Amino acid sequence: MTFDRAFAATWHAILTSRTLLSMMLLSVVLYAFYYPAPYAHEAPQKLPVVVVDQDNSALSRAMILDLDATRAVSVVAVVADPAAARADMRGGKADGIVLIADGLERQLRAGTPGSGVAIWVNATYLLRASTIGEAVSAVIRNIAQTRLLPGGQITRAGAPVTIVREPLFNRTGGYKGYVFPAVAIIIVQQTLLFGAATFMGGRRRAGTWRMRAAEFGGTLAAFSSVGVLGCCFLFGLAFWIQGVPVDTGIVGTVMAVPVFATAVAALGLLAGSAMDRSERAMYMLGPTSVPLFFLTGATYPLDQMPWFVAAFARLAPSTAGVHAFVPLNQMGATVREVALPLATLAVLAVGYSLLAYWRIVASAQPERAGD
Amino acid sequence: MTAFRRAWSREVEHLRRDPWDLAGITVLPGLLIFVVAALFWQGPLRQIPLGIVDDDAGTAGRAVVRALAASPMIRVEGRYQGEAAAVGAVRAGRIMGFVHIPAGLGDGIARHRGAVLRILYNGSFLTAGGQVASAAEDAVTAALPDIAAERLPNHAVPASRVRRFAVEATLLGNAPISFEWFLGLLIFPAVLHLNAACVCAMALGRELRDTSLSAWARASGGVVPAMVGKMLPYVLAISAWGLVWLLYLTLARGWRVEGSLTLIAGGQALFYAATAAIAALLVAATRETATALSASAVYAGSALAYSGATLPLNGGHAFARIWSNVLPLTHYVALQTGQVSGQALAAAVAPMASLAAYVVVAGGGAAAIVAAAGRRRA
Repeated sequence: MTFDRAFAATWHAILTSRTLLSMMLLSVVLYAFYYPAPYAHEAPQKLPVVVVDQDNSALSRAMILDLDATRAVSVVAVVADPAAARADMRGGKADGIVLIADGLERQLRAGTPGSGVAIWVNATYLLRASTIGEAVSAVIRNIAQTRLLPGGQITRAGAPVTIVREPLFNRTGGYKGYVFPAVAIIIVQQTLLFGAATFMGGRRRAGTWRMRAAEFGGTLAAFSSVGVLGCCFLFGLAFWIQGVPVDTGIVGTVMAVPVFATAVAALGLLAGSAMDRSERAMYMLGPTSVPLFFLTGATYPLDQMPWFVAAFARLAPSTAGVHAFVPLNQMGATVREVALPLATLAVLAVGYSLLAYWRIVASAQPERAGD
Repeated sequence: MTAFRRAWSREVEHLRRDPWDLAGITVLPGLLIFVVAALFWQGPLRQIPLGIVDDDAGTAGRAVVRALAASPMIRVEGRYQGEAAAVGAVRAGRIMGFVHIPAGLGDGIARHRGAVLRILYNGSFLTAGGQVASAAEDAVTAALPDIAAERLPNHAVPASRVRRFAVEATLLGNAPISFEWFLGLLIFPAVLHLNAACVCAMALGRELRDTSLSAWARASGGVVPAMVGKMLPYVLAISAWGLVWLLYLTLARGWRVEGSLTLIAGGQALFYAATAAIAALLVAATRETATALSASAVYAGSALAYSGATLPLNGGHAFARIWSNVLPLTHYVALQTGQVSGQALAAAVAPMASLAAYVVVAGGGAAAIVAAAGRRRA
């Protein structure tokens, strides 16, 4: 079979097999809407807290109103004693407790010590804990600056240095703009991996999995082109529809997409050629999606992992993919700035293609039939 | 009871013969548990690379840099001539963010000129970027009074009104801000969820003959007990891996479960039974293993995002909130996190009941479809 006939035959197989079509093409479209949906509101909102108001002053009541007015926190109850608040937290009604101690207003006006604000948060949900903590500190800082100046006069007694904290690239610090660009790469990789391995697993079962060089090349190119299509759809259309921050270095993306797709397609063909049937691909590779996402270092950086885990992570095209495509698509990086992940992708593409060639073509035909 | 026994022993016999199917409940979860365990071995984030743009170039600027370098979460990775160079380094992944120390910071502190110190971090890698930015802000805020005192003639800073607010924050359940306890606890059940969905779909899918389970239903001698017997080896194996993970985190790594570990283990078994029931329903309804596996990958593969454990869904749109409650992982995570952080037993009733409902509704639905198919062809 010639290269172009193998290419056309593979595409024909993909488009006519309900399994491959839904696995590789329809699921990418589905994921583009399904995956960002739980991140559409971008930031934690209205986390339930219980306030223990021991001060019960105009100031503490103002503080509670301000807290409830923030985006992050919703005051579900105001109680007088900590035991009641603890019971609420134990009952799962609140993520945190804010205690406004007795004598707070007096302390703030007169400077006498002995009072303060205490926060207890459930840090098993880390993001909820940090959100509540930041909201409470911001409210208190604001109250100090606006409500407590003696006689309402304006003084310069605030902090001598203003510290400004700003996110770069994903300028709102939203979760969709953070998670979805990285997940998009996992979506392309896993759907293509499943599809290519399912295809090869099926041919293995049928006993027709060995190919000549030209047929292998055409098949690999067909699966790579599916990956390119997936990348174009997600990076081009889905990011735009979903309102994900985009600052594209188009040259780098155009260069990197085929390399990434080839690496994944070759890995999929290689993995599938080891399997006993087509369904085995999803059976074995499906559960790897979540660990592979965390192995990319998108949430927990690669340099925080033990060296052998970080080294293993780099074997997955998605790891170099995240570190090439997120800078290229979201951070406006130049090709030079992502040279290292691009080189990694190229090495993986060549390496997996050679391994797949050796497994599928060379082991059957030592004479290497030419095209 | 004999239908159950026969199905059980046939399944165990099959697993003994088929290394691939056996690998799905032994080698695969074993490898994944190793990877996830090793990934979060370090726990909290440490020594995240941070850049410095020091336009002050004086003692105050150097004091800020020293304060930053002293933070355990920060590694001062490089100095850049301007913000453009530093942003380039962020793009290249060399640093996660940078601190811009303004010109005349020392004078600003002493004379109240209102200097602005900027902390810019990578919002596209929000977790690490946000953490390093918080650490930098804390370090600079703590160091500023001393830096100011150095600059003032009497070496004393007038008490700030803002600083009169003593705020004490206590992190319950995860004081060191460890990702091993936060994400590790969540990820592995999500991984096993999809693992269980795949092995169970495969087990029932194997009995499909010409996209029909009727032959299997007729030979089973009772669809419900046969289905239970067929799924039980998988549910037990996956639950055992879940238990290994819990014991690893608590016994080997020393994390503490405030509530009941037994309840978590029981809830976990119920959760994987629910997963098996849904897998059976998917196979019975689609009558095609590949489609059932694909559907499992979609619903179970992204269930963690919908569970509200990372980004809470309060304020999310209606579809996300409703679908989140339809997915079983949400209820298991609510049960697990609740017990881990010491919620009362009463708070575990609702998630337990929800998980049991999946077993009854999905499992019952699957059994009904298969039994109907068996009768039709009989």
